[in-house]
Amino acid sequence: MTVTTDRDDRAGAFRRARRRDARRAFALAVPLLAFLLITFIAPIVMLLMRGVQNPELSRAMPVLSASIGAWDGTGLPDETIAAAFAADLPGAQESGSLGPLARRLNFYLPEFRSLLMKTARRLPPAADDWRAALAAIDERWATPEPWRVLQRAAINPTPDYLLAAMDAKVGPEGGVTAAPADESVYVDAFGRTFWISAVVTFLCLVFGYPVAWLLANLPPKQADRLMILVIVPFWTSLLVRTTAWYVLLQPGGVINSLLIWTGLTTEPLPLVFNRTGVLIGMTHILLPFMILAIYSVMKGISPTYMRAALSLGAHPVVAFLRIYLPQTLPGVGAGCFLVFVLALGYYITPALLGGAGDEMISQLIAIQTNQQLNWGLAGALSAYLVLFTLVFYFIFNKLVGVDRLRFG
Amino acid sequence: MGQENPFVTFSRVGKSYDGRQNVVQNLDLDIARGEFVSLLGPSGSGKTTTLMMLAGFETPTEGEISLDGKRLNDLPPHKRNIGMVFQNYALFPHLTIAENVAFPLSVRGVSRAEQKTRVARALEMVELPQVAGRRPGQLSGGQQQRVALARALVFEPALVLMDEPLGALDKRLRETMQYEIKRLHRDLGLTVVYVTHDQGEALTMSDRVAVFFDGRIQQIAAPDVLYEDPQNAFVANFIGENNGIAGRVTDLDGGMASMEVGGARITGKAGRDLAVGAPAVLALRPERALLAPMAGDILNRVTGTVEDITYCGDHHRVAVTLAGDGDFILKIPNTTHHALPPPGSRVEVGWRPADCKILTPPPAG
Ligand SMILES: Nc1ncnc2c1ncn2[C@@H]1O[C@H](COP(=O)(O)OP(=O)(O)OP(=O)(O)O)[C@@H](O)[C@H]1O
Ligand SMILES: [Mg+2]
Repeated sequence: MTVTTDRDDRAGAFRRARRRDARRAFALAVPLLAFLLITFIAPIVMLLMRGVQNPELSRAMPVLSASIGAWDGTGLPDETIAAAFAADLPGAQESGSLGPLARRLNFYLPEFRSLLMKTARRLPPAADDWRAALAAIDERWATPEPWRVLQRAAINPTPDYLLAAMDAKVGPEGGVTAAPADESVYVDAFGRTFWISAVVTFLCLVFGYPVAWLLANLPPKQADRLMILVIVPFWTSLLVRTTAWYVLLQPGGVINSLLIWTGLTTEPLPLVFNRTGVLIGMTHILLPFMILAIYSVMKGISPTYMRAALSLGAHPVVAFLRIYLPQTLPGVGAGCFLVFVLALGYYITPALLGGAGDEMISQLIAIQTNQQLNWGLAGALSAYLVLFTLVFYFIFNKLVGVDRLRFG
Repeated sequence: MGQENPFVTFSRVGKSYDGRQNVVQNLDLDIARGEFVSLLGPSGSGKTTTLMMLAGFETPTEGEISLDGKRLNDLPPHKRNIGMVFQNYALFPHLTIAENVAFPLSVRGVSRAEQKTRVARALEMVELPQVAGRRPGQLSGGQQQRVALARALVFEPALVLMDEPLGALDKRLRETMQYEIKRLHRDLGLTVVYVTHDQGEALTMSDRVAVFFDGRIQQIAAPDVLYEDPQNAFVANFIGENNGIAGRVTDLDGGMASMEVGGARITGKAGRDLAVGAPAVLALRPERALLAPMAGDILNRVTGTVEDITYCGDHHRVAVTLAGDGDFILKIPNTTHHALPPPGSRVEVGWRPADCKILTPPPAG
């Protein structure tokens, strides 16, 4: 009997001690978690939320947004809906929520802002037939288009930003249709972003692998010197390095002067403000990530493996391909993933070194947030970027699976 | 042994890493086909360097190495057809055991079917057929070393080199593996060059042992010769235990020499390069010395004070201080029941001249 109680006591004491430890560990981590949440996770979530939020109409015109959903979208809406619009308009103007609404509606239909402002200015205090009164202010109110826009603006949350980010929209008859060709920029931009990132990743791998090999295999003194050459650019400001390339690559720049002086070309080569400039700049800036990722794995590979392979009769090339290379794959995978994902979000370098056809998706997101103030579309584009990044993470994980390649 | 038609020959081989100091100097070594030769010596004496020159990972700066009559100096390692077992096994971590063992066959273009049977046979030989599908990380150290052995033997190399292959294993496992390696050597008729700094291992496994010191072979001989008849003081001190009392040569006479130790005259077999009046060192195994010897052919007698007695199971170690000449160790077998003299008492210690040698002291440093 006493034995059992003893054991129960001990188990209880053990559990209590464990719980105390767990509480203490959690308490220590709380500041960090809070910091992460406030500075990192919350802003991202809020930006992504912008991609589906559509609060402007319901905030500015609560009556209209409650009633316009009942309209079937054909002909003109009922008099009650027109009356609701007319009733909400002065209130919106007074509360200051008309401005944001006008900007929002302008994303749907260009010139909607001027239509709304004009209507607000000329609206009569009372009318018997609001539809006629509105049509008298501007004949566009006699067509279904502006009403359809108002109806879409009343849907919250909305899929419209997410569709716009994929060059699509909901057509007049419902159903998703492609946006007109002159407005379709985002799918191309995503494709371009992936392509540039893939090429940059490939170039980084081609240049970085041999450098990493040298770093891992040179005598310590020389390896240290080489490491400095890799690390110093890594520490230098991104902007400084990008502008340095700008100076080097421009038509009258160092590289072209050298090429002309040596007689390799007669005309300056177009090295900047085009794809070449973007690739050179991004490869140079992302190369250290690739080198360091591969180096960290190579450093752990004992030289006896190569010796063993040679002693077993493998030609040095065969030994390298079959014994050394496979052991470096985790580093190659990590480096490629790192460079690719960083490249996906690149902004300054393509903006400064690229030309008209080289915008990457981050630049378009920046235009939406800084110039267009279209935070909804920026949020939707960002959401896609995050989503694609996650997809690539899983693909990478499957291909050079981090767990599968962890030996020993 | 096999001097007429040696299989491996080092002639006047020297190696320097920095162009100033030779870590291997003037090395002459002949190894016969089927022989098991160990390279034994303290750390830094050049054993690994010698082995690496034979494997082709280091190039000799002087001299010539040949294998089966072919000059090896300029032949790259992968063309030498020499099997090698490394201290840390060097099994390829990303390949399975079967793939590891098949590697030397597949780089030689052996057909898949034949690879399979030979791999199976090799793993059978090291008694590990059940691990073929596993990865090296999932095996114990001893198992990994056996796989490394199978991999080094599967392509039937002319010569097998092992650099401290058992260094990372515990004592019991090491003994088992010593036996395994010996068995394979005997059954397959291998020629083995084996580097170790464990002298027990070298003495029990080898046909001949080359004792390295300071980049030179001090003596190469069969284990019993090395133990019984060391050529110089370094070998005498390095192999087994030795009572290396220092003194001066007093007499040289037809293969025998005498030296003076603490007022007593000691006679023994003469080593090389002795001169009357020159310093000399005694080479005497602790088990050959007797306490309070009877009269008879025990000509060498010295007296001292018993310092300490240690019980070692099958024998006692008795430490005796001779007059001003430090420690002298005796191993007294635990067979007789007569009482040992207590510490502090004066005793006489004696041994036969035929059981000791008088050698020149090792070079200073
Ligand atoms: N790659 C190298 N570069 C310069 N010196 C070296 C190199 N390898 C070995 N040495 C030196 O050569 C000498 C002999 O080394 P070696 O490795 O042959 O010794 P060893 O007998 O195998 O010793 P251990 O029992 O410790 O393995 C040592 O003094 C060592 O410092
Ligand atoms: Mg060594």
